[in-house]
Amino acid sequence: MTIASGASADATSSKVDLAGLLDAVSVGDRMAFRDLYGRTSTKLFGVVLGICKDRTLSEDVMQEAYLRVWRYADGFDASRASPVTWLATIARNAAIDAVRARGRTSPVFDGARDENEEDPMMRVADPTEHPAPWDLEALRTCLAGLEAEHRRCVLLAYYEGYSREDLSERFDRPVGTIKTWLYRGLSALKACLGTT
Amino acid sequence: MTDDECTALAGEYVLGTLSSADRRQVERLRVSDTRLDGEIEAWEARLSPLSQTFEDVSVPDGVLARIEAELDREAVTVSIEDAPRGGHGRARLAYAAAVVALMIGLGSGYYVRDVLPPPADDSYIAVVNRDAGLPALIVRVDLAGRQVSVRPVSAEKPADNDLELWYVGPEEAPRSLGVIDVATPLKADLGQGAIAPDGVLAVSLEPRGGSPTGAPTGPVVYSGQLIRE
Repeated sequence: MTIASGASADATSSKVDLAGLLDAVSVGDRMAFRDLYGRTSTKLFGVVLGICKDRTLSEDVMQEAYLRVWRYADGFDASRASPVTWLATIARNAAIDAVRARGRTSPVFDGARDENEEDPMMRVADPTEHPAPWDLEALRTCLAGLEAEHRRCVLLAYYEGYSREDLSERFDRPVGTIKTWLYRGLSALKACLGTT
Repeated sequence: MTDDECTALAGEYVLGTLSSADRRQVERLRVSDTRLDGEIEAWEARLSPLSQTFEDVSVPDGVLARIEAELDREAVTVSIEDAPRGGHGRARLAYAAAVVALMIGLGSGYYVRDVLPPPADDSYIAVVNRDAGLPALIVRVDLAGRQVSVRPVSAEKPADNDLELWYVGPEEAPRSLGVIDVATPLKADLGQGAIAPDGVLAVSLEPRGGSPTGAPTGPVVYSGQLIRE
């Protein structure tokens, strides 16, 4: 057996395990819940912290996210999403709900970052799993084909939870323009992914 | 909404660029709009590869303990609770009003006919529920007699709390119809104020004796829409 196939078998069994844990959680298995938390919380905290920035708020959101996991685990359908995707979706939604509910009380942006900003594409180009899976490669290719501003809007929204208004402030453009950029970016992305 | 607009709205919902109000609106719409619901799932799938790109960040130790404490607390109420946490009573009741569309037409009429006395003139009825299971309460509102009759069917409550029944009219703050007993039928005075045909009844979890503020303070555990008899 080659190393590559061994690694892939590991990855597969880990996915099966998470799905199995979610299954157990859906019938109220607290041990499985603890296990699931242990195996996924660092990733979800990365998701949440990226959007909330604030650690205290992020901890509250983690609590909310895992309570949603506990309540809605029976809605997980392994044929439609991977466990990680399902969990990340819950965490992102909880984080976005929290930052929208809080409103923009603190400045999201600092000037220095604008000058020296890390290209959000760097994150897409640096997956935690190597080599990058084909679906990520496809998405990266399509993102790379977007106009730069459209791509930055999409990625800042995804990774950092920017609202239309946040993006408007960031790019110093009217909200209407941002809406158009998002519309065009998403349309182009959908068209591109449909052909890959 | 054109297909393109639907795709864009779903995409922005999944990206998270919408305001709170628009997010709630999308969540309400997707319940009955299969095209929108499908588009949301399609966007989640399209963007899902990005979920592999998040960096791990270690979580402070106390977080799991807090979550588990919350689960312990909820263990008492979990069988009756199905409303999202967070936000205030008004928002929760708005949620109840939003999900109630789901609950109508789930075959509840069967119970209504079986367990209630014949209707009075000019009365409304609501099957107050939390999912497609057995109704929690059946409530009849008799406008002529200004009476509310509450018939518990399968309602449950934790020992430390009381359940309080609220009428939520369109554009109106929730109005308390009183604390309800899950074991015995109850007749209560409707009090002043109109009952609108599209009003909603909601039951919230409150401290013993009912809400101390006059507005709902706990999560909505059951809700149901008033239907003219």
